Amino acid sequence: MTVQAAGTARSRAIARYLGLYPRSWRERYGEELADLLDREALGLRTRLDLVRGAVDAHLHPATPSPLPVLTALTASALATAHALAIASQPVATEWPGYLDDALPLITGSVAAMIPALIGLWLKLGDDDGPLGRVGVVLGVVGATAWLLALLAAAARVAYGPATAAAATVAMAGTAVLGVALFGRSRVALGVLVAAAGSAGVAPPALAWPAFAAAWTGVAVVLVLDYARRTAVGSGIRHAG
Amino acid sequence: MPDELAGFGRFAEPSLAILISLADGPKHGYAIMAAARELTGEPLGPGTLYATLSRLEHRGLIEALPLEERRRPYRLTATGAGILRARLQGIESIASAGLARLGRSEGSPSATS
Repeated sequence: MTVQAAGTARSRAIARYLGLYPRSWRERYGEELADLLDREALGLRTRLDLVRGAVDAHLHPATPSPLPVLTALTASALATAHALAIASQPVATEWPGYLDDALPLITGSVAAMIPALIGLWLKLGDDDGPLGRVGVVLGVVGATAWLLALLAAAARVAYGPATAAAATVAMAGTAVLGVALFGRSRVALGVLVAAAGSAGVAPPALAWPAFAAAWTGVAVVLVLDYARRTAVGSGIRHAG
Repeated sequence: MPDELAGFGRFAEPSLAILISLADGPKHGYAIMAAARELTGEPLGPGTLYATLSRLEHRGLIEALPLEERRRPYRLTATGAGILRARLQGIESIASAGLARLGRSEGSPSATS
């Protein structure tokens, strides 16, 4: 390979790694990082570090992302509709009436919960601690399993213990995440998230309304927080 | 002054290295990376460097200066200097206490027997 060809290949590699970062990040830091990489050996360790930096940049955008707010609003709205659908049923929730009336609503709510839980975890900032990490992993894995179980139920494959087990894991993770937020002085948000995760222990008639009410509270706090952060501009990036 | 760097999680150590590297004047990314490497003996990757610089900048501990060709120097703010001083004094206090205890322990009869 000629010196010129090697230089071109290197420039392409640098452009490829910079392309992993969000556009707004590249506009701010891209040129100086490219200059640095021009003078740094692009070994495996450096490349992995760049990928890790790009993931971090996406998780901590310069301007707050509305996605966690929108997904929390969706989760709360569908959970409320689900609770109303349950309450309006003349008989106890059972196959197949429950599935037809309420299943699509709780399925949508759980699907929206997954990104919302990740957004809540990001509120902990860099110092998320083991409790925050355990909470988000349990919550996301549990909610994903719950979602799959609900989809299986919608397809009339199965409904029962597996769904309940997955929901329990998701709820437990949500509750742990709430405790972690509370411990980081996010008192109102922490209490509401913990309440959303603890709704399953309420008496059956109250469990779904409690779940919906808690998620609605979470969504309201996130909306207010988002409005405050966007109002103050770009001054807070990593404070959560 | 509370330890502001504790809230940086896994970026606390790179933050300290970067603040120390800027203590004697503004530097651009590559110079910061080289100074941090010399200080800690550990390589500081470019992804970690810029993730940490952005945190320090947004929390007002450092500030960016105008670009010089393709390099942008950074310098400590007064807040950053205060936090760095408090952190280093804390480390110095712990080190002094530890060394004093070690000295006493090495001088005691049980340590010399």
